[in-house]
Amino acid sequence: MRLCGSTFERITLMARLDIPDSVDETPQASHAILEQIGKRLGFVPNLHRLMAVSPDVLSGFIALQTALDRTLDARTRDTVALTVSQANGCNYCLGAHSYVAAKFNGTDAEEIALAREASPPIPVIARRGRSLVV
Amino acid sequence: VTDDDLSAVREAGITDKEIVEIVALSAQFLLTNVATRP
Repeated sequence: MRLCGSTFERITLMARLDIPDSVDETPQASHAILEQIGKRLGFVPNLHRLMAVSPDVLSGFIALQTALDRTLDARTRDTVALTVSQANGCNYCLGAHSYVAAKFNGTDAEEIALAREASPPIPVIARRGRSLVV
Repeated sequence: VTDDDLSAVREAGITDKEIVEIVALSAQFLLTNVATRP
């Protein structure tokens, strides 16, 4: 079991790659995508600024994400995000996906907790049944 | 994912198309997990 806030976790969760502090510090070829993200979210997340160091990685990731945003339903996608992030111990991702699930997709705290307990997500999705997958 | 997991999800009405989408989403989130905590 992982202990949140432990010295071990604080050390291991620190990113070891340098994340550009701003869009200006990323390659010019990444700027258009980052500016779109900034307009949509009101800020540019660390994840996107990191990927932006390679414009090809950033554009490939955005294409994948855009296509997969059309699959399943938002709450099922949240379940997958939470279970995968829990399995990988990514607290940054867990925080982001928990916030999105609760704030924008109407997922309650119990459902978020259930998703975080399961790995892989298939059993949770099976338990919810057909009605939750639109 | 075990065979029992796969059977359970199919019995719940999830199609193979949706299972493939779940696998693809899992790969996408694995990528973001790794990128965020390299």
